[in-house]
Amino acid sequence: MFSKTWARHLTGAAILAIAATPALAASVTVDFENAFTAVGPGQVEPSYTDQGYRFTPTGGDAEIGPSFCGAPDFCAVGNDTSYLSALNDAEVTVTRTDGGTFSLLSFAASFLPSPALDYTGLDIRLALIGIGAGGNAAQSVDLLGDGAGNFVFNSYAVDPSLRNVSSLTFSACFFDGTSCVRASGLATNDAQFSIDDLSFVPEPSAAWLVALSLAGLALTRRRAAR
Amino acid sequence: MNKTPWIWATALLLAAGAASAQQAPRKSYIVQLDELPVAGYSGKVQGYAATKPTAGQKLNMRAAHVQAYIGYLNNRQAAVLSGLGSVPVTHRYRVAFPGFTAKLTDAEVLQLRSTAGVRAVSPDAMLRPETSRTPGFLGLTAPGGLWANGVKGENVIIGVIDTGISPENPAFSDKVDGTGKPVPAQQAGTVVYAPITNARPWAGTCQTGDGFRAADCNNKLIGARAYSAGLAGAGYTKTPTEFNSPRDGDGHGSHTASTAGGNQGVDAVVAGQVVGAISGMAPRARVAAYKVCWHFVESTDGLGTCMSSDSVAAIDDAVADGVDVLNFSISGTRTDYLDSVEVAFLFAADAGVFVAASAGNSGPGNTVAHMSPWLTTVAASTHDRLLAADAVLGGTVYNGPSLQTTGLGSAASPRALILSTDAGLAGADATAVRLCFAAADNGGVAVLDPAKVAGKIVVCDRGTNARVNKSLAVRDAGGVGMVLLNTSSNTLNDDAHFVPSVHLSHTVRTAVRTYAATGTGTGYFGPGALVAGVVAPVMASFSSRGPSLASTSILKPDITAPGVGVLAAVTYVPPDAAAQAAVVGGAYPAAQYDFYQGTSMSSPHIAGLAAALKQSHPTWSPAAIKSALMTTTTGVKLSNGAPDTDRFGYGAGHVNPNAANAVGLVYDAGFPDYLAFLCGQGLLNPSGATCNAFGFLAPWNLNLPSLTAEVVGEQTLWRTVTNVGASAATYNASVTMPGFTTTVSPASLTLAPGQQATFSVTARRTTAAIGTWAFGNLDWTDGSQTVRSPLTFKPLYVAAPAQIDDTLVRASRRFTIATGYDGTMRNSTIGLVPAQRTAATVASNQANCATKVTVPAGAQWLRVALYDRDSTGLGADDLDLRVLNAAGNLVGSSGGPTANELVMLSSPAAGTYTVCVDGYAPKGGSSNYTLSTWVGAAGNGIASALRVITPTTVVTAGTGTVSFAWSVPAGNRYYTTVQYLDGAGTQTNQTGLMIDGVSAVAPIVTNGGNTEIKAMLKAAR
Repeated sequence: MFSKTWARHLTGAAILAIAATPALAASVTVDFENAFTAVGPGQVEPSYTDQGYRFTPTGGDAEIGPSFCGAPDFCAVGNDTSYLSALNDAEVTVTRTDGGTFSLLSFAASFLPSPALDYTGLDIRLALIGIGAGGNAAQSVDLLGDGAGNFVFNSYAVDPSLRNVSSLTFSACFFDGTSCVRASGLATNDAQFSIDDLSFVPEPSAAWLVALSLAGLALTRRRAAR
Repeated sequence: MNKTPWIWATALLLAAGAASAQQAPRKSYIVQLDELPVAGYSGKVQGYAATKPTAGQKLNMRAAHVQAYIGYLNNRQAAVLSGLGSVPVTHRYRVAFPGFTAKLTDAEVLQLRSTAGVRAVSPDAMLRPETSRTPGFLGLTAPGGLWANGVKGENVIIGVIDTGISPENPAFSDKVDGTGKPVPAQQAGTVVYAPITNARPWAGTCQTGDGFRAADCNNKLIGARAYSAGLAGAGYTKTPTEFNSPRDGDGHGSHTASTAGGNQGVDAVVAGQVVGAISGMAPRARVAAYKVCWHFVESTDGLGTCMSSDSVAAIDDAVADGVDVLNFSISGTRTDYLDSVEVAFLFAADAGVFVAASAGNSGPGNTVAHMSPWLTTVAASTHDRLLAADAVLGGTVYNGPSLQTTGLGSAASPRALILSTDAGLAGADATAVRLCFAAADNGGVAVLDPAKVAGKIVVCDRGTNARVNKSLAVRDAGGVGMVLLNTSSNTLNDDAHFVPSVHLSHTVRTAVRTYAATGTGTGYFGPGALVAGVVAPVMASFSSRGPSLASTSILKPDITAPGVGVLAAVTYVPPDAAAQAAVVGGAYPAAQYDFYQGTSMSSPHIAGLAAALKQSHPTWSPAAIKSALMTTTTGVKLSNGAPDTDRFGYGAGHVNPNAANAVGLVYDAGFPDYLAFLCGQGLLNPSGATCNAFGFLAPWNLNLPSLTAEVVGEQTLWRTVTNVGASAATYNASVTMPGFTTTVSPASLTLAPGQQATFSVTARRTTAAIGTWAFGNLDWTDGSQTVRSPLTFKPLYVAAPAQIDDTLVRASRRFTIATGYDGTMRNSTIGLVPAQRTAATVASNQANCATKVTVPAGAQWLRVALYDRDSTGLGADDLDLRVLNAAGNLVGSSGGPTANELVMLSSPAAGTYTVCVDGYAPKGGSSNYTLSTWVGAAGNGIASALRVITPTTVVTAGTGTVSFAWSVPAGNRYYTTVQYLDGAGTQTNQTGLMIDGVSAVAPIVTNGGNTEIKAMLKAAR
């Protein structure tokens, strides 16, 4: 779906690419290290921005920092570094600060059990919804418990159908056998998750277009010089 | 050359001085290990068989597998200690507590806390120790009552952990005289107790020492031990009049022991008069005394102390010895389920030992101690014995309480009457004279003039000094009687006075004083007679009230029993070292008796009654006995005779032993339930073996006979009952719970003997006031008997922790809140306020009031605190705190037994406040301290230092996550409150946040011991 639409938007994308020089940056990994803050609709700052990528929680707030979770609460375990935690049914939407499109290759994630509540036995997933030029694409990945009430960070590859998008939204959900749902599976405020190590790649089409447009620009100037 | 050795010596001396200066101070700590002690070990270690006794059985300490497991525990203790080098170990425990007590430096404490296998390292704590009419009042002597049926604790062993025991008292003798009256064990008589017969031999011992010989133990007093290693470890020395043996050096221990299990029919003499025959609640039970409380030289208030480490050692031995019941009339923790004494009682309960403990004497404040669900926490109330007599003064007859049976004078030969205010010695303080101060109340100087008082009845005012000290002053001055006048509306008491006395109301004070002031008045007293229709039981004001400060889902206290005007055995306390030496040398003093009051006196009532139930139901667990006692209680009254509806005074109600013995349905619980409860409280490692094996239990679902919860919208509680009757029975449920719709499912239970059934109780708020505790009852009735459980519910919009404490200066904490409404949620905070720290000095008995605090209009709170860490005594200073408002009026105070003091004022009026630090008893006579103050006003919080996340949308009976994330400079303490708001901006609840960036090691743990005793002494005035 997405690949068919690329050609139609070549010209527009080229103009955008010229304007948005950050797109020229090399592939980046957002790992939230050294950050310690809270963002969202209930906070002073609505979003967290890192290396040209903006993370905006809606429906609840998100906290960014290392975990201080420990006994007796159930925790997201297996990650001693800083990461982003979306609390109380928050969804997190990733966009570029320049409004451009991007691709996410992989990320790490865990479900975030409410302290002292036990989700053992539930099939809990993280849903990704990408909005690209040609429409939406979705993917859901299993979030894994350790059997004792904690959930464990895992690395996940992003489905190729979610490449080259203008926004990507994460939300926790409960798989009821056919689809991943919010309301009927988890009680209010129970959908919480953590994400880390988001590996963004330079958008292949954009890089190619930049090169092309630079070539075109050079050609134009040469013509003008004549 | 000759000088060299001298120089060397100097260098060595300097080096030695430097070394000792650098020697880190050691303090006594109780170290808890992961291993289960003998009483709780069920066989998880490869190669070691289970040592935990099965139901109805006791530990057999001599069994090979028990000794093998003790060897394993010794090795584990040695392994933990090996990492520390040379450390003085004062106690090693093995039966009821997994660990040991040692003197450790701060560095060793930190090292131990990170050592595998170490569960907790807590500072040793100083604790303080806390009956004739009561058997009849409790119905024991009634036809058909327990005693009439021979249920007197036969072959049951009561262990009493206290100040020791008086071996010459007939209450603790196995002999009677020709008329059947108990006689001291040292006298000739007929032995009426056979050696104790149990499933196995009694393993206790008779430890001898000062004034206590092997022959002092007998078939009644079957064991006696003493523990003072912890006292010595804390650096304290016994007073010269103490007895280094199980002999009681105070009276408290003999009082509690005789109330629980003393012989029946012992004539008690107080102040020269026979005032009644005393008896224990289980008069045929055997008694074992474990002395842990001592009078010590360093005491700043003349009171004794009981070190936790010594108490744990006593519990450890008592369980191994084979006691069935333990009484602990000693103060204790109000908040910590893992306090070493509470943990030792958990393992004692697991070994089948019923534990009764005093609720505390710090009432009517919310101060209930010993709040663990595995023991029975006892409040104190009055009984109905009151003697009153006529005081005929110049022909006018006044009637008032009077504990005497012979009268004083007669119409034909009255005594002269004099006002104390007309009988003072020259130069004596007028107030001291009016109040009839004894010499002891006045620095050793008498105030009444014998020349004026001799042979007369003296009129004294109530107030300030102990009531009985007033009659002592009269006697010492040669007076023969006393009229005691209330000066305002107050209780009337039949105290055991030193001369015949009548206590009269303030309403007749003017008339009596006017007549006595003539100087020619006369009067006489009729004999005291029992007053009919005394309102009882009424809660004693000093009895510590609930709710539990550790969990709002566990009702405490559990039950109330008589604890006011209790007559029982005490002991001879030598006035000086020479008198002590005479007793040590072999002289037996006369048996002593006295009236005491306190929860210390009510607790042994429950211990003795539990012993009686243990005789008739030998297979009942401690929880089953507690259930039987709690579900058969009767009501408590206010002094006007109306029902007392405040359950936090008395728990289930007033003990009713005959009904308890006949109960057929119990709420049983055992070790697995308590461990699951502790896991649910987050107090044990959630991923460890214990919580994996036993799971997690919400506190409101612990199988107690009381049902208690905060109800956020709706709450369901689960219980299981057991038919302990001899035949099948059908029980039907009924509920009284105003303000709630409460359903029981199933509502009818048919149970074969021994059969269990589980039911649920669901309460949904209808009209009950939010934020206020509401009380009701759940009754299971089989047509002949009712098993009644107290229901205690508090509706909330939002259930949230009252306070979060942390020591990290850059961290976040998340917790779950429960929500009781549908709508939106916001939060509000002024941010973290750093403490203003003020260094100052205060001397003993001085006040330092130099600190002024300005509170602006609209401030949310004013918080003032002192810390043991911030005073030079490091826990040995007793400093108190007072806060005065701009007008100089006292608006807050804190009078704890150390320098850990806190005053928290909500919504303080604007103005300049004065903070006074009182040097109640600073170590060495003076203390340098740092005072911390916080003013909770907008603008005082550090900008952006705290970020709060709350849910946006909440639902009834739902939950949400709250997160506090903060980053503040190290080296100070920070406090704030975070308010939760609903959609309309109305506050629904709040959580405090305390960041302690000062204390490196855990705060020095102390207790309310001094306040316990202070409260008891105040009640005697």
